[in-house]
Amino acid sequence: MLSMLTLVACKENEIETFEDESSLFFFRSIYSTNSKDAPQLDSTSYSFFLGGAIQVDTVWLDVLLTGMPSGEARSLLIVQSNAGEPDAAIAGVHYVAFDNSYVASRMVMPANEVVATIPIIMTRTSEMDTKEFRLDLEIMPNEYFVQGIKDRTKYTVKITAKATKPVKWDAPNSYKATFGEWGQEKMRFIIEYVGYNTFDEDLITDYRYYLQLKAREKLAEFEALNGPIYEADGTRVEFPEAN
Amino acid sequence: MKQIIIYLYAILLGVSFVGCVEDTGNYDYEDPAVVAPTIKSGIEENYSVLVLEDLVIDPAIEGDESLYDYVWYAYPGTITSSTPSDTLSVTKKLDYTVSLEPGTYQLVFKVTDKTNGTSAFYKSKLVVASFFSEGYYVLKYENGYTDVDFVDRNGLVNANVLKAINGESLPGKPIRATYEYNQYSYYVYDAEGNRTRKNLQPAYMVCTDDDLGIYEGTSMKQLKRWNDAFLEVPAIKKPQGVWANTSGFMLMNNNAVHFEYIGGGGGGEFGYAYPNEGIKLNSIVAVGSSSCLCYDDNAGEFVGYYVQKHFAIKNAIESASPLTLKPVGEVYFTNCDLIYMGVQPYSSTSNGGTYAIVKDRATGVASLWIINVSIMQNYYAMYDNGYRGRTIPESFDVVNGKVFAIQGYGVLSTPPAYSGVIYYSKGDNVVHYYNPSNQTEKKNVVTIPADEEIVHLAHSSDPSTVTPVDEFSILSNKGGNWVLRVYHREGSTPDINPTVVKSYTGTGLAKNFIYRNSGTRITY
Repeated sequence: MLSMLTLVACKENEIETFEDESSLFFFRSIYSTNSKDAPQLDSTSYSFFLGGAIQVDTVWLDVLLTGMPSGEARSLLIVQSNAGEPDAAIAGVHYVAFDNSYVASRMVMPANEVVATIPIIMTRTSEMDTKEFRLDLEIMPNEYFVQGIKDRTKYTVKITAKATKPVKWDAPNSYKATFGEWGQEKMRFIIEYVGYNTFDEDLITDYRYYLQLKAREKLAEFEALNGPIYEADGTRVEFPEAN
Repeated sequence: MKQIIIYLYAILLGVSFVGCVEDTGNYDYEDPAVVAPTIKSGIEENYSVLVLEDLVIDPAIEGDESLYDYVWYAYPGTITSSTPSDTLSVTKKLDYTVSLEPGTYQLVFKVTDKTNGTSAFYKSKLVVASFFSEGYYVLKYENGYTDVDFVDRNGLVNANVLKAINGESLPGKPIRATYEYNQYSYYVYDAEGNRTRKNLQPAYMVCTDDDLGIYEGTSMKQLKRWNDAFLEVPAIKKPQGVWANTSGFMLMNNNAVHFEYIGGGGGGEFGYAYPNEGIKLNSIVAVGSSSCLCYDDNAGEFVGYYVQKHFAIKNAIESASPLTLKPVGEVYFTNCDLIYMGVQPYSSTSNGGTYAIVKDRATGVASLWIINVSIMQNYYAMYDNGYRGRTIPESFDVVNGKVFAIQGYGVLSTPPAYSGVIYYSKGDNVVHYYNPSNQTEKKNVVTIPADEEIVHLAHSSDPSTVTPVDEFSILSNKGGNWVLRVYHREGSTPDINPTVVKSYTGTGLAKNFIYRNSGTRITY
């Protein structure tokens, strides 16, 4: 009996390898960013307002592989699933279509890789000053891949040029404490004249003081030449003089 | 038979287990004692040094020393995966002027055989003590640059320490320097670029008319210069001075105030300019907690700044009990020239009693004001305790002074008004004082040689240190060199015993000095 046990104990373990079909899903994490250092959950909201005068910009999304990497590049099939619906983004108008040669060349799982980083190239239109357009993406099966993790095969990109109140504006000791009540013209002034456009930071005290002092000085300079600035509702743009 | 079978199985098992033992290979192994370098002698287990001292160690190596590479390095006493190490030398003999921060280190000597790549190590404990915690920092100008001659606790003049520690002096003419022992923060980066914030650190700052240097307060290692000392570097570079204000520092540049605030959470940069609203700022400043009392030469009146209020403070408040203090929106006076302003020292963190001498431009009448600068942060206004201006008699010479110092109180409590005389010199070789408590002047209190010009006076007074500080010092220039003389008072009177207790000299033209004692947190 003992020798039998010994013989069994010496038998080499066989490790099971992955044998299912390769599948794809969108990266999602609340703890880390994607390969382009951008947050990626289940949607992205983008506004051209923060970018100043730029007309074209790109949102990069990571698509992950479940399965074995291949020695050859394999194309992905990602489509717009809300085409034709109200306020849906239109390919070739609001974003560069996926059959564009450059975009198509990036819709690929590279050889020997398990992550594909795909570009959603957005183009600004005048309509975006007052409207938001929605691009619903879905991973579809093709000759190489099937759909992966069930609730991660879809992703939404919202595109606009409206000034939207940043999520962190009213947070304690944040943008409201620095700049006062939010307004579209105020936000435009901050971006163009104060030179600040990253409204998702946690502001330390030093930096809040710096932004507030600079905003007040720049506004005083502007008003000396051009007079006061007003929001659409008639509210004058002002910055607080103290925390 | 059964027994034999059992023994055979046991042997079989034993063979099986042995069969699982990995083969050691068929290499040739040599004795490290034969092929590796040998450190014979010359290195001790423990070393204790001061910053700026020379550490010389010359170990003996077995064999031909030319066959080896050498390196000396030190790393902090606690080892982590990202612990940085300082390479001190790449020669066998270590001859190193210590510039490590005070602390405990592992000192390592590594010898590597150039032929076979084997190495031998020797580890010692190295304790680096603070050298700069006590002494006089004489700020001077020489050969077109500003530097500091440091008179250490042993009375030795260490010339040009900025250059000695950091490889260069500061360009430009000196304006002033300042020190605070635990109100500065900055970032340090490891080899991988990971950032750590060092908070509540000592810092020494030097302002010239062309640059700003920020130095770690115990080692005098440079932390920042002008171009990295701001969140946004000012478009115009016209430094006017830097001051420690018990919660950080204030820098005046191009007629505007910038604060570096310990409560700001950042990396020790000065922030944006505070509005000056048509003010012309005099470069004489008195500091408070996170605040400063400045002077507007245009209007001829006080103006204050408090780090958390982003406007110039010009309000005066009524003298009353603390419960009724409130801004009245009026200045105490206007259209006056500032003759002098300074803080009466009574402890290492005094900021309560600011003395200011002003002279009315219209009438020529001079007056002495006592302003509570710390009130500015609470009530956004300047408070004079109800004393109002005390008229200085027309015949008094203090209004013609060029160099001033206020007598320290010497007791650990808030000084009463007018409890300190104002020492002064008119830019020559004589010291006098004005006593506002009894409205008298005493002339020719101390006289130094006639060919010297007094450039700085100080009564260093701090009763809170282990050995209370009570020294009166005179800094003068003579023929391109500086002279520092230290005196004692006559008992507890403001009179100065003319016998020089200590005297030091150095090259270059002195501007002013700071005295640091281990218990001193701030200098004015």
